Amino acid sequence: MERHFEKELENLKANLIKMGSLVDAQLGSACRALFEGDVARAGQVISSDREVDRFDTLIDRQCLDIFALSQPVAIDLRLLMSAVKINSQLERIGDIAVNIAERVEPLAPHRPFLLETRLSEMASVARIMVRDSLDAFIHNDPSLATRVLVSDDVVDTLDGGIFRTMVERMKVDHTLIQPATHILILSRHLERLADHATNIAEDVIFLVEARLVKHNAENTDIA
Amino acid sequence: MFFHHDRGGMQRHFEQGLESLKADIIRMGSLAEEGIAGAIRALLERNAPLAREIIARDREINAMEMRNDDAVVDLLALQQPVASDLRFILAALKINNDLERIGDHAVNIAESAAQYADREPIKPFVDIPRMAQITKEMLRDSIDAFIHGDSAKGRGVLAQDDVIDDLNKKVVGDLVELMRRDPGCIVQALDLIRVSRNLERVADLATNIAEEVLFITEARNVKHHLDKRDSGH
Repeated sequence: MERHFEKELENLKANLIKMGSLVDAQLGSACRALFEGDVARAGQVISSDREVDRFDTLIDRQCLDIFALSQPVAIDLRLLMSAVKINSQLERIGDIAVNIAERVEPLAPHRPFLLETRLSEMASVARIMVRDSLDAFIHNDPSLATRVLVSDDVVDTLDGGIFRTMVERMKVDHTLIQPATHILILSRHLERLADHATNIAEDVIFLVEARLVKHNAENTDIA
Repeated sequence: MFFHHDRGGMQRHFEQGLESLKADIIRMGSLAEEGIAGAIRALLERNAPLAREIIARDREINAMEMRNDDAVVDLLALQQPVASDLRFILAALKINNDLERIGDHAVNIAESAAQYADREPIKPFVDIPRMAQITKEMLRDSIDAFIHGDSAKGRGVLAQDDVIDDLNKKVVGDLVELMRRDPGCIVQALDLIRVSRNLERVADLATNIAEEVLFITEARNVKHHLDKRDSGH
């Protein structure tokens, strides 16, 4: 039973990793489409979202089966709950990739303006956060998770800066009002992306702490 | 005899736990709804103190989220739930997170409301109050559908989401037009765009909750719910 459970957990982790790469690829593709003005690529991102949804459902079912069959307790229970949550964060990151892709077409004619902004820098930071948060989960690495939390402030600052710049540009050049509004909304999407990564990282830290508490309790028992 | 008695006690304990989890989700749903309602009222009434109160109250919902997570752990540790209870409990876990996020959106709206209250109003409110009304109903219906396993109500929420998406597009489009005509409106218009987008996000989260309900109810009724869920998207 124990060994079977371990195997199931490994399986689940493998699927979460796959889901993570899928979502990361979607994000990468959406950002590339945005900054290259590639409308066809954006369309692919939108249609591939079904695959992300399918994976989401698959992982949910897997979690459910493990719960039902193995009746996990304590730390394993927490781990499974984190898996459920992380899965749902990933599914939403996938939705953000779609939201980004949907703005590729309206922004395509304004690419020079788009490239003047710090949006691509923001996208890079946010994407690294997503990747780091997943790595932190996979390798139980609280220091990596902590780094994600720190980067969240960087993204928030970039978001604030983009907001102020866009308002100034709109005031000066009224033909930029529409693209600047799209960019503001994209900036908010990226900010949310960072929030999802932060949520995953917080779960990782929480899990590691729960483990520490458990180990301390066990050590006390032995003593 | 003793063994049976013991198991009965556990069972009762579990059922009480499940009931109290339900009650907490309902309470949290009301809190989230009040947050949205209060933030919108602060916007419409240009009431910055109310907006700040709404921002401060978000702590309550955050604390509740953590308590509910712990309650789920305790409940699952107590005894092995049957499949349908398990689905319900895991859905509650996600909904708990969705409601906390709705609380964050109420804070965002309240922040915009506080800023907007300090500036010249740019237009009469027409679509935003309507959006807020529909969004609140979606939220209430999604929680109702979850508590009562009412898939018809859940589907109703999904249908409303398109209405909100269209309204959001219209609001943003109108405000962009307004900014073009009168650039003196830009800062205020951006606050209203933020409000509209946050309402749209709340509607999305209510839709997520409704989808959880369909997932639960269809899993109970339909064998191949996986395909069914996909075709429903």
